[in-house]
Amino acid sequence: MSYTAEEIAELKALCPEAAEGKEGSTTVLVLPSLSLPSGCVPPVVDALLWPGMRDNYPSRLYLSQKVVKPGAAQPNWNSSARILERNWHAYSWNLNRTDLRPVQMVAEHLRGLQ
Amino acid sequence: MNFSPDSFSRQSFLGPNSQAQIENCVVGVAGLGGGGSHIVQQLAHLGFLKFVLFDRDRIEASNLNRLIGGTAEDVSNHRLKIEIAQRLIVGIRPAAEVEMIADIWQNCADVLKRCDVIFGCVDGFDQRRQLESTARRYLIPLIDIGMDVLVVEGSPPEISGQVILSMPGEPCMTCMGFLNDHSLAREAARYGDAGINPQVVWSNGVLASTAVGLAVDLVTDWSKSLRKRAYLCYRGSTGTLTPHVRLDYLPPGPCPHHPTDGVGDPHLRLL
Amino acid sequence: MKADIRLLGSVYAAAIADLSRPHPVAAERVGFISVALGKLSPNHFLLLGHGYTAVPDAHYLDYPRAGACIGPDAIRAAMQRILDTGAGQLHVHLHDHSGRPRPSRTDLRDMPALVKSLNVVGPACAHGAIILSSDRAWAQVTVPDSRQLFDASAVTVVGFPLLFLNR
Repeated sequence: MSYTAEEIAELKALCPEAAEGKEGSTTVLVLPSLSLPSGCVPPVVDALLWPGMRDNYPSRLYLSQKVVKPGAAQPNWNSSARILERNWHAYSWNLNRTDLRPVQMVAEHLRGLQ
Repeated sequence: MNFSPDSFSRQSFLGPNSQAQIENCVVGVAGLGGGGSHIVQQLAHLGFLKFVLFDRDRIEASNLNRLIGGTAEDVSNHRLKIEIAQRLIVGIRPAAEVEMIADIWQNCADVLKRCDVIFGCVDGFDQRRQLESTARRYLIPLIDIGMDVLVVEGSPPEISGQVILSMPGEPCMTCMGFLNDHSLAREAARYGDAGINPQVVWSNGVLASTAVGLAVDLVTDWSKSLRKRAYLCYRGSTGTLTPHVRLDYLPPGPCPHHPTDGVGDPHLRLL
Repeated sequence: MKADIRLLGSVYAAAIADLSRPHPVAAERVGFISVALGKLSPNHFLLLGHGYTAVPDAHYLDYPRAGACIGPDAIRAAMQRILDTGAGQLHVHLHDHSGRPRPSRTDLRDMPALVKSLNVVGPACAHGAIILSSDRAWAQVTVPDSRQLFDASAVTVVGFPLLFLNR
């Protein structure tokens, strides 16, 4: 998957160390030390965006650890995955859209933690 | 304790070098439940000496209907399944080296990567996908087994199961249709819970024996079959194990899901 | 330091088939196996052979004092392959006998210089040399954390059947 210069600039503004890697035949995006919505514990985790269809989700955002929101409804963590030889977790949050730029996908997925 | 060469005289048909191949092979077993416990017992009898076992669970009463080597005393003592497996192995082969990991393999994957062959005896499609991904990355043949009981109202239950050989470079479980978006999505919709699958000892035994037979052939080449791939389907009501019809319709060419130039440690490229 | 080599069955088969062919000038052929790296621990590496590249006939030099002598074009091609693919390179040739092959004096003299060249363009890769016989193998490699060539501990062909060439 190739990104436009604009898309890359957006991702690097969000996460300066953003990188891509290949899992099988899929190119994924790794976002180290991604800041999560306020109130999340921990507030910063590594994230991995699977930007295409996976398990019936048009895209998925994986986090390096499960996140807790004290005093609020907790996300439904419904997936553990091993991608790029690391363990990841994802909560159930279906964007139902395939027309988003990568940075928009990340933002929409993070709404699941707000 | 040293055994005379006659110890394996009954399996000499496996070939003149077969015992050396067997003894040199490092076997990883992910899951020491109903399937994995059968497998390690048979491997030990055959003379395999190098084991790496992964399972963090302890035996429960409900496991006694199928966990080979498990006893009522083990249940009382909340023994780890890997300890039961280890006891089983060394009771047959005192010289065996058994590395026990009381954890999921994902938390000590570097240990798994040292194996020459992996037996996957895990629950759920996603767990299988994870195990196969790592096996493919590090060029390790994976033999997967599993069983389920299908219940349709108004009909007798049916036992189904599979034995799949996933060889690096050859069709994977996705190529063979066993792993697919539908099954993975359905499992994800259940919040990743593979469920408590019904399990019985005789079906596990059929599947485990078949898996062990595949591994022995892989290591000794006794049958000269050069089979490279296997997807065998078990049907409990008829007691049959047959190749899946899908094998006849696999597209030619290498596996597109695990390109061979994608092996090894992942490389990240900064954007 | 420990390194285990795993070769895809198709790569091994391609290498044997190519290396067994006669050459118009050289007594033996050589090729290159592309390897990816896996790091199991600070001192234990996996070299995963996933591709084979034959050295074209024209890249050999007519040098009767060695079984095979490849010219600068062959080495340049190997170096370019490292740059293009990020894969390390194992120089490979075949000894036509059974049993564990041994490197010749020429092999031991020339290999370090070749591997040093490969390391220049691919310092993050593993490189080295492997000699195959009909049923065994011998190999020396370098890994990113050790620029010294050392003996590989195991060479396995991952095919059906599995072949343990060096255990």
